[in-house]
Amino acid sequence: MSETLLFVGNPNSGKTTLFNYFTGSRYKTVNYPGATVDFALAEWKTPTQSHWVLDTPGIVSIVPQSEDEEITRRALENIVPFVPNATQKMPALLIGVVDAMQLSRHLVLIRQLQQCGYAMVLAVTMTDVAHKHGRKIDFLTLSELLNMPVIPIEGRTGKGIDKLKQACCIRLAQKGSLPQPCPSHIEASTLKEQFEWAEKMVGLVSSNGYEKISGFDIDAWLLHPVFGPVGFMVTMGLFFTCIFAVASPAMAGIDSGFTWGIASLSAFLPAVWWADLLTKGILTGVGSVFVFVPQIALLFFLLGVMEGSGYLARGAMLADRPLSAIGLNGRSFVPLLSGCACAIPAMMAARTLPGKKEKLLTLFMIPLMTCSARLPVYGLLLSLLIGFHHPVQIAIGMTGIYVSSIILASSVTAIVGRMLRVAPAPGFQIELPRWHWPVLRHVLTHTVTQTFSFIKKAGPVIVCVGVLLWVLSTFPSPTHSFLHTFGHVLSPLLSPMGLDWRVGVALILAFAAREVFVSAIALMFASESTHLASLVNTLHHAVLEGTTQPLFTPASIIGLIVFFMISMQCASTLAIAKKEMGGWKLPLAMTVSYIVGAYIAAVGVVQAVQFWMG
Amino acid sequence: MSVIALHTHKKTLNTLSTGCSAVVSGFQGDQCLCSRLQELGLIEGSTICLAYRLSFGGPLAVKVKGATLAIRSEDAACVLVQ
Repeated sequence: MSETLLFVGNPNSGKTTLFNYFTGSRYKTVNYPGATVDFALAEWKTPTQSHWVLDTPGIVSIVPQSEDEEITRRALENIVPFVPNATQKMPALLIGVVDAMQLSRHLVLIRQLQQCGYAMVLAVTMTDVAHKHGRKIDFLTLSELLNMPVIPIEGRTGKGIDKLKQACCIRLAQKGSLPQPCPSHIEASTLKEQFEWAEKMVGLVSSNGYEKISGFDIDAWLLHPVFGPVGFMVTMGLFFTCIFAVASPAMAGIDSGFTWGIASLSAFLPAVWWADLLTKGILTGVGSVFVFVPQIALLFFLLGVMEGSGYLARGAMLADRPLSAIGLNGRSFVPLLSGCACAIPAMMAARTLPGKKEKLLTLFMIPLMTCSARLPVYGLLLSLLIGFHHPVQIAIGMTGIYVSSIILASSVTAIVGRMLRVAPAPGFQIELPRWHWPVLRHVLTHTVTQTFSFIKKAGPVIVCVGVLLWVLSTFPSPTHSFLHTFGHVLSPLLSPMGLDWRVGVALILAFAAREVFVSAIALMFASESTHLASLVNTLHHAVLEGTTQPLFTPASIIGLIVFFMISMQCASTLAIAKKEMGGWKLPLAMTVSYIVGAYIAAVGVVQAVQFWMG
Repeated sequence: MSVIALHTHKKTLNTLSTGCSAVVSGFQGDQCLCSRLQELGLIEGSTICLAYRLSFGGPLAVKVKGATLAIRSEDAACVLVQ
């Protein structure tokens, strides 16, 4: 019979690192039914039995504050939805995780759990750091005082894990009484008592208090009133440069690899409908998912490094003032930062936000951030506008688009924030962890799991939309398809934007993923290749159908850029938004208003530019 | 006299200058926020130190019980100190 062990602890207690050591980084992330919170589940085999080990989101108290804290609480009360074939409702054993340097704060949660009657084993992490700072802890006395096994663990090496496993085995063999339901509210006086108790425990077992840690205080610079924000800007600049400089060539490589592969495959396959479906529908769809993998992986890697070092929490603190001005919270910083690469992981990151209002507003803001799928589109449009042999001007144009997107997204968020009638989170609090060198192995494990999670979540939607669009563009016949008909129907809508139905078809195709616009434009204007130079050349000579006027004028190009800045043109973002917002109403309202808003703004800009240029 | 006493009693965390230590003496304002701050370790009687403060009324960082917590300046006004 298998039993379930839960890792429980405060945020930043080293819980996930310990979980990695305990499971040998062999775990899978599972989606909790009904919610979107991922949690890590692993199987732990002892010589006689096999058990489930579950990592839960960090909590400061058993009274939850955000959606992910709520999950921990639910796991504590009923593990059946979390593990396959659970035989018991309650977890058999909790592994409480506390930081040796913050014993008096972290022991409070342990006290609360113990008072509920849970069987526990306590793991004290970062004992090496404590040792370095001259802090000695008498673990034997602590174990006697708490009446539970206490195992010291070294944070960097994981030394002590075997003892922890032994202690778990012994504790599992002893049968205790079942835990009581946890209270849903804790009185201030009770909390004070618990803190005083913890302080007393620490006084009894620890050699010294919180003496000033000597040495260079890097936070004095990074959180400096002037140098702090400047350093933050520089870090963000480096972050994006790194993502785009490294990921763009990889994206281009994967894209041309898939194009080449599909071309060679279709040359080899017979000219029948299923071969066409396979190459143009399914494989193209799969290709447009994999194009994002390098930079999604890079994003998770860099976020992992920043999180592991402790800068992410400081970034949230530095971003709180500007974000609070538009109704958000410093904690929205990480989702918005991810949103600059891709909206899907960004929306998944928004679930750690306390407060329904901040969460919803962040979800509304994410689709307006300049995600990487827009970059190939902007690249093409700017090359058309400026000329592709002016890289400096294109870079300036791109920066302009970024800055205007941020201004636009902030204004929209501020407006939506005034309209939303939901309770905001009680203030902004974040713990600033001590600086660490990130452990490469853990960052890599995190990167791989998160990237796979992205492929699993976004992949099916993108492929399905790809297949659907293939059907629409192939039947009844490729030259007179449903999509062509639809494009002609849209024609009256497109002429105020200075465009014709062919661009309309490309805009519809871009609903699979925005960057599809580039290849769709190439297809519609029968350019021999999607290579930028030849495509730009073809498009320069394109005329509005039935006239001799050029199609791509400064007005219509700027209009398209504005359209892409605002429009919610990504089926997988919609799917994820539906999950995260818990229903179709809000995400559909968001999608429709962003598309309509994008259209109105684009028409306005086109008309204004046309008027201004005579 | 009584006005001065009231005034000194109402000294709040956000009015401390950087590098100053104080003892938490009570809370005022939003209940939900106060209980969250207490859960994080800002308990009556605990010694705190205002470590860093950002410009433009941004958050401040407080050292308490071995941890460094960033909280909004206006939220810190809920924490009474001595």
